[in-house]
Amino acid sequence: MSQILHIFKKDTRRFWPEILVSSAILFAFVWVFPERWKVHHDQSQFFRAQQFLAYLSVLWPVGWALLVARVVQAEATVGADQFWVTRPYDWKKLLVAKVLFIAVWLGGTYLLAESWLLTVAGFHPLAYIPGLLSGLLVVLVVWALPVLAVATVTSTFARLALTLVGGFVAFLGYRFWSSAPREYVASQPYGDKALPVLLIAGCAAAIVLQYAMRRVWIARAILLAVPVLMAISVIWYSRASLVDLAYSQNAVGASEWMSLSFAPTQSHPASVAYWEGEDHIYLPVHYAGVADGTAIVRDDMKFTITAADGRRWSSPWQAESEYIVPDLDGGTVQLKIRPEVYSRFKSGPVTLQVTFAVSRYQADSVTEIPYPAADAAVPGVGFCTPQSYGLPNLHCRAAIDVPRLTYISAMWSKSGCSNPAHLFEPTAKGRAWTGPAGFDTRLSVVVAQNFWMDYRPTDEEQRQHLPWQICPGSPLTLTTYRSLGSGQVDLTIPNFVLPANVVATD
Amino acid sequence: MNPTSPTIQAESLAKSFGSTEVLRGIDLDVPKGAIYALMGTNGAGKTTMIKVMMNVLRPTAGSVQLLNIPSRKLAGAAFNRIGYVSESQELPDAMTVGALLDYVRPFYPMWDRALEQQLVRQFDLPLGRKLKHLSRGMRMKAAFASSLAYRPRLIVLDEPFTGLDPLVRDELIEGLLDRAPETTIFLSSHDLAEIESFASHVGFLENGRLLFSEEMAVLSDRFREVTITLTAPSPLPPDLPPAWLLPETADCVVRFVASDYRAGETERAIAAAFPGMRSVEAEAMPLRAIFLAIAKSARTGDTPRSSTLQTPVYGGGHEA
Repeated sequence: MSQILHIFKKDTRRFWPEILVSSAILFAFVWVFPERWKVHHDQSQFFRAQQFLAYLSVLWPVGWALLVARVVQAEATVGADQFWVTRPYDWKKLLVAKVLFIAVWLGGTYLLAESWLLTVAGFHPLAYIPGLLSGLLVVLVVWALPVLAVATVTSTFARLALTLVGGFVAFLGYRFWSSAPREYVASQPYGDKALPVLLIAGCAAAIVLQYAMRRVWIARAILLAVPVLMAISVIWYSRASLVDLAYSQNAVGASEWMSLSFAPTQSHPASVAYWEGEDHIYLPVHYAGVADGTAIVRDDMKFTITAADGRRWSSPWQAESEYIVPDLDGGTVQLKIRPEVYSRFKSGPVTLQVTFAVSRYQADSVTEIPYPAADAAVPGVGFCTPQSYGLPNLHCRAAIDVPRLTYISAMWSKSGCSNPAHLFEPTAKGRAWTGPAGFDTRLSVVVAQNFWMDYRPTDEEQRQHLPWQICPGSPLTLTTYRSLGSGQVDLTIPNFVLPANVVATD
Repeated sequence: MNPTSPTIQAESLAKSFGSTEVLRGIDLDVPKGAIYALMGTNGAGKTTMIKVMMNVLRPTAGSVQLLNIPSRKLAGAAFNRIGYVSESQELPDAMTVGALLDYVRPFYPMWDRALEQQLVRQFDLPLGRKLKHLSRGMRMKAAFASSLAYRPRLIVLDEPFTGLDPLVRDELIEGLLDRAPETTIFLSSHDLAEIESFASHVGFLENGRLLFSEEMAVLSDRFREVTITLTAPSPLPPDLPPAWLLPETADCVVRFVASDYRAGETERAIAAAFPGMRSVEAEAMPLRAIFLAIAKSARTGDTPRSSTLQTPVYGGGHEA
């Protein structure tokens, strides 16, 4: 232990300027971050803050990379002239000393900064210790561990920087390639758990190998294999549909959870549009049978087209995201199909069978609060501020603890908020959802999100009378849900004629 | 450790970088208490040999033991008993000399604070100056102080005197010799004059082979610069012994370096090879002259076979 602390103290004395710089970047980030949820009457101020935050979001990891690289390369594991190699260093203690340094000066400052941010955001940090620690773990694993690993196989910061830039460029290339229009993307119900396992195992193996044996080329090969394996894993996972595994076809009573029917109207018929290399068929559907107090989420969809002559074509699972509550009577189903397949079937009537992978939820708490006029606590979400520029929306902030699936609804104003009678006028309902996938992952434990209320008019009057306001004091209902299970629901449309005119929307 | 066992013992030690063989089957024993100088031209493999010994590099074949510890296992606490200084070694440059000593001190249970202070005085080390601001000589002195103050049982030095002015060299050698009674010293160097003054054993590495390895006194005894005066000009006989290096003739004079000189026996061989000989002189050679003779004979293709250059000294053969 004494050798660990001895090396730790030496590094701290040696690298205090780097510690200071990286901490200053971090604290600048959390200092500016609250601008994200403040009400800005001057939007240019908000965008300036956003831009500054974007710069800091880049500088923060760079500052950390610099600090990690400097401290690791102070006792470099690459080369044949290192001071420490012929001194009585215990490699395990040396490695622990470096990890301790990172834990204290990266992890410690991160916890302090984020605790301060939580306080500014209105949350008590002690109430979010698990969230703070899990955020710290993510940040250390995603940011610090790979840099630590690369630093152990490079001799200078310049080489480390070049390696990281090379890796980043390769990542961008991969993203560019993987974001090219692809036919179908199924949802990934289990998440890709292989990625963090591969990342941690690969980096840890390279680090330990380097400190224990200084086998540079083997360690480099391992680190090179990590992103390759991760890319292969992502490609495999995105192609291997696990939807059938997650959404059992035999879920008890799934067919009773809801019913869907094809419901074209004159103003809302089936249509088709060409977009990003595919034809998109839009089917108006009617929902029924959703039990009171429950919600159905359409997560994935697949369909089969069967022609009268027996020709048949089936799509793989395609991801979607549609939330259905009892008072929502209709929506749209979007089918993606290759144009040449579409052409083969559009000449005559077909039988269209659509299968939905759905999750069913049970409402377990309903809270009604007045739609806030200013920053206010919103149960189950965090704190929200109404924003009035553009379409009205609730600008909310939450601590990192992922909120449960929550349904937020309020009534649009028909006649403007200056009329006191607006509260009693029947108008369309605005809806928004948040949940485990509603908040993105990011550097900070405090997350900000806008809730844009949708507007689905139910009659012609509502269609013609577009609302522009949700008035303070209007009832804002928040319903939280717990999961009841997953299953599959079918919709069969016999004698369906594929829409003839494909409208290009590119 | 057996008190009689060699401090350093290499067996068939080889090291290659790709297809380049840098060390080729080195056998070497360095006895306890020796001051062993490893000589060789640039690129002969001296630094590689030392780095393999110190486990900075892994041998391709064979093995070497230091203080009975296989080099591959040399790490951590084993370096409590071994001091290593290299001209190319990185030092924590941002530290002052004092901070360096303060930093390394706790690593060594046997650190002698009084000896540290003595070395600081002896080397006139500026404790408050950063290593990166020191001259090369002063840096080397700091490295010496940090490697001698724990009284290592083996000191390994790679080209420690290269590029240093004579005064600094003398100071370092003096500091080293003060430690000699209690330690074994292994060093590589081009600085033949200084080595000759204090080395007890010497080895010569050429193109990855150890051409000889023996006591300095034995080496000095067996190398002689031989000058033969003939009664009339005569070409060199075709079948001179391979141990006679760099033979040349001019008018009535023949010169060569005898690498296996034995009084009486060598003279009889000379008389047999040069029947018209009028006189013969055999002069002792300084180490520098021996080094040059071996190096030149190797370069000119008159490569002496290692067996002709070696005399078993430490027990066991030394066929390289």
